Amino acid sequence: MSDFAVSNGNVKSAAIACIISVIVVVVLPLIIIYSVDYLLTAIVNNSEASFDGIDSLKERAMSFYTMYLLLGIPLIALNVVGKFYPEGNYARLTFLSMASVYSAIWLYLIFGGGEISMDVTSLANSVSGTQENAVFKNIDITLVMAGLLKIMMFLALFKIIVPISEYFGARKKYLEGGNNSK
Amino acid sequence: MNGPKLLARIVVIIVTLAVLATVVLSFVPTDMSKNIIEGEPKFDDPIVSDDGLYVTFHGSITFNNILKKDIKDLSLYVYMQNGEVVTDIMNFKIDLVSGQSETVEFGGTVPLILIAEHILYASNGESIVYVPISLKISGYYNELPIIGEPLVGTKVDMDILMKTNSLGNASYHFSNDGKTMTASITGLNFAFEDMSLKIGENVKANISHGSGMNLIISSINDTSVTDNISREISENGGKLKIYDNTGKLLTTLDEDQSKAVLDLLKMMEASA
Repeated sequence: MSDFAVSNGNVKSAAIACIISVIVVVVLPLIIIYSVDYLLTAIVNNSEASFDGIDSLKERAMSFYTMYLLLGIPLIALNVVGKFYPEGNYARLTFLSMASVYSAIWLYLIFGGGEISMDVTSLANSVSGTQENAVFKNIDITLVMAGLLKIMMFLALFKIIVPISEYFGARKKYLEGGNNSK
Repeated sequence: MNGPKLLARIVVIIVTLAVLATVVLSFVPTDMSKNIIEGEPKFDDPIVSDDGLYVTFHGSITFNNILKKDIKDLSLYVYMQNGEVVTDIMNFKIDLVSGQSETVEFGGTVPLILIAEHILYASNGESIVYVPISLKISGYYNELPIIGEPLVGTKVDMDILMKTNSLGNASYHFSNDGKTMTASITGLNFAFEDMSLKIGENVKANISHGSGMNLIISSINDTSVTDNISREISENGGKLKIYDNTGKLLTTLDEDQSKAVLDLLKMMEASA
């Protein structure tokens, strides 16, 4: 089990992996969310129609992002720990393979198993100008994307061939002590 | 980067791009009008009943399922050139399975009173009724456009109609200046709405029904009906255009049909 020894690791590689993972999991989604929010606000401000229900949609988006972020923390951790070890190291293979498997699970969890539902009753009433009389009641929109989710999970799992190939390609050199960097 | 890792990365990129491309392409709507069938639907020669009151037709259409998806609830029905669907005759639904080929046969009997509103014209001096029948397909996404031109045109000899006592008689009259022609066929209860058409630019046709069918063809300028139509045909490369009363083009007769209309009118004018 000497492959798992901390002395084999490289802090610089782990730091780079940490930065990249944080950008992908934390920063990019935030940029997207705030861009969409900015556009929606501009549309609402320039429109004469009332969009009272838009706030509930924003709240829904933020709760989705929170779940995305919380469930993404283990993925960041697995990637950072994996990249901490050099190529050809058994620990690197283990953690990066686990990261691939977890990324598929992560997708399944954040997309609710392929069905995302939201209540748009308030939005429907405000857009149709019937907010005061509330003609619409209990309107839920369910986005069914089970097929797309399976494809995304397959692609996430398929990436496992990268650490496996990397391990077998660099193992010999690693054992000879010639690959202690990334 | 070591060789196997590089190879694995390339494989991952290729597979990802291929899957994404497949997903994106699956959302691209297919042009149904081009892909749903191969070739033209086939019609056998229609058969006119002995009493001349009905036309029986039979045909088939082959679907070679080029589409990637199964198609459920595809409706197939026959309609007339004026858009009237013969739903009483046939209107059935079929399901097509992706990758399979299926031939569907259809047929029915249409009362002539339903189709007699169509174009009256002469061929070789005979009065005939042209019976256009086409197919229409719907039920997948939006209704499909009409497939091609009318697929069959049976020429029903008007003599058959005249021989039948129940159909009464036909009569016609041309005014002295040739600017108005009236015709009537009595003794048959035609089932159509009154129509007002334009034949070419300067000839108006009113078709109405009461005890029979009444047809009034008149010029809307100082030229006779036959001269107007003759000039119209020569100016349009031998083809006569039929418009509705709003000026919308309904159909363009081919050269034979256009000549037949002119010949019929000339014959009637000469004998009037």
